[in-house]
Amino acid sequence: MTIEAQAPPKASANSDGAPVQNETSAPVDGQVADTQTSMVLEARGVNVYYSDFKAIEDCNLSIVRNQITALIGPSGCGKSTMLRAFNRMNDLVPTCHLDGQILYHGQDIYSPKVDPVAIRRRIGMVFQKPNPFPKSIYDNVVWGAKVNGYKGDLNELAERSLRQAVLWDEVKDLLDTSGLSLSGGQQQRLCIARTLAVKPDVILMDEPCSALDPLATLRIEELMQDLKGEYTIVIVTHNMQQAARASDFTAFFNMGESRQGYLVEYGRTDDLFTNPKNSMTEDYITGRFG
Amino acid sequence: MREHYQEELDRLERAIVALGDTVERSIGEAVELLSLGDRAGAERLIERDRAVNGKRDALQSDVLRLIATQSPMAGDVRLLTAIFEISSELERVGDYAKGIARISLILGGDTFGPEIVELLVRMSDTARDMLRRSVHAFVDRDVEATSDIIDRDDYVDGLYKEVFRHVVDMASMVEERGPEAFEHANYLLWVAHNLERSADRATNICIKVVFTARGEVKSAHALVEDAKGERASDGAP
Repeated sequence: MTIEAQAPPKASANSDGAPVQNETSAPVDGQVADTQTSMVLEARGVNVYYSDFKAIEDCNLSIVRNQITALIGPSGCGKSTMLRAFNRMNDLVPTCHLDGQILYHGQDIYSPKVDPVAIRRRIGMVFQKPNPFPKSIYDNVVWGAKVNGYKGDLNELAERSLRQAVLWDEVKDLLDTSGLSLSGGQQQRLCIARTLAVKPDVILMDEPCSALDPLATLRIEELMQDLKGEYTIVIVTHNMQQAARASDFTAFFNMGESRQGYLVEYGRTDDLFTNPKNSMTEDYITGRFG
Repeated sequence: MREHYQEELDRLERAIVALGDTVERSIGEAVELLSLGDRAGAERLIERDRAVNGKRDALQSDVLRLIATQSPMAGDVRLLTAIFEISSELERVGDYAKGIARISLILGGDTFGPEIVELLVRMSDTARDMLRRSVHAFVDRDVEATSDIIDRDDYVDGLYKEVFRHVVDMASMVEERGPEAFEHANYLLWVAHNLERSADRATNICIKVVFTARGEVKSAHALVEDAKGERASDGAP
């Protein structure tokens, strides 16, 4: 089942931010998923603004647990804005505000009672450009856990996180050397290890391979497949082949006439890349525009 | 955007039409040569099948190249896989025509009379019509045309059964026609079989039409039933 979202302007049933079951119930193994148990994140009627400019309009999108969801679309369509809305990273942009709801395991993360730092611990982020701290590999990995008052064995945590990020064998004898001495692909895996060390539930990845060569890219994609058994992953990518190769679900965003981003189509990656329901999706993924 | 890529896709579709045209004419010509006992013509037709194989190979190689280099998606990847498969279907039709030409060399004009020839001509005319229309339906993504084409397959199957009855009668006429009667009857049945299979290939192409246009994989039977359902809901007979 592929889920189509209406293009704005619209007077849809979900314009009030209420959930529309058909749109939020992504299928798992060919069946409609139980939205209560398999949805980790759920955007309901989300609008995101930078000052007066509306960057995202009326987005309804569910993220399925232990699956990889890719957000694709042309530049400026709001996919990174949407990704950052999922862990309140946009709070760090003073002009940015959001209405609608983003539910994390059913709880609205934009509720005044919620601590955004606690949210970002549970919903980690890996950025486009690898950004290790100018510290040792070891310190890079355990830094977040230390700051959060981790009481366990830091050595064990560092090894486990580096193993999960498939970097341990390459750096186990170099733990005291600077994280900046690693190659770009290794640095990105180090950043993933750093994210894993704080034991998140969801990992958001904003074009994590755009600065990497093809082999390093494939290693990250393999790593994502290894990680999805334990984590839920949402990835923004400009690389459609990457979305097709590496994700289980894909959401295609486009830009409206006022340059506002909106969700065009969402569905299983296998369906969306072989038989999209919306002609705009077809034109984008076949390279006819964008 | 992607004008060169689009030109390549268009070129492959034109190549499918050309291949369809070639093998469809070969089927008609093979039955004509059989009825005339034209040995030289049959040999030429057999030789021509090499070119058909070459065209199939070139089409499939182009499809693989585009898949490897252009990362086709959605409708494009369906189109390319359909071109790959349809080129095989059409090449097989070329093989059937070659098979009939080989049989005509063996029979040397012994077709057991005009009745069977007429049935074979009707079979080849219908199969040719089905092939022509199915290839055009593919290029036009004309899903509605497919049920009519598939429906015609029953007619070809009926003609095959008629040929079968005649051939069984002929096979038993060993006293009147000599010891080769049984063998020749068997060959004529193969001719009819090849024509019946050619019509089946047109049906297979229709299935690819629906796949290419809509991304649905449906059996021929399901396509005909769908069309009946749509006609009934339109109030049409």
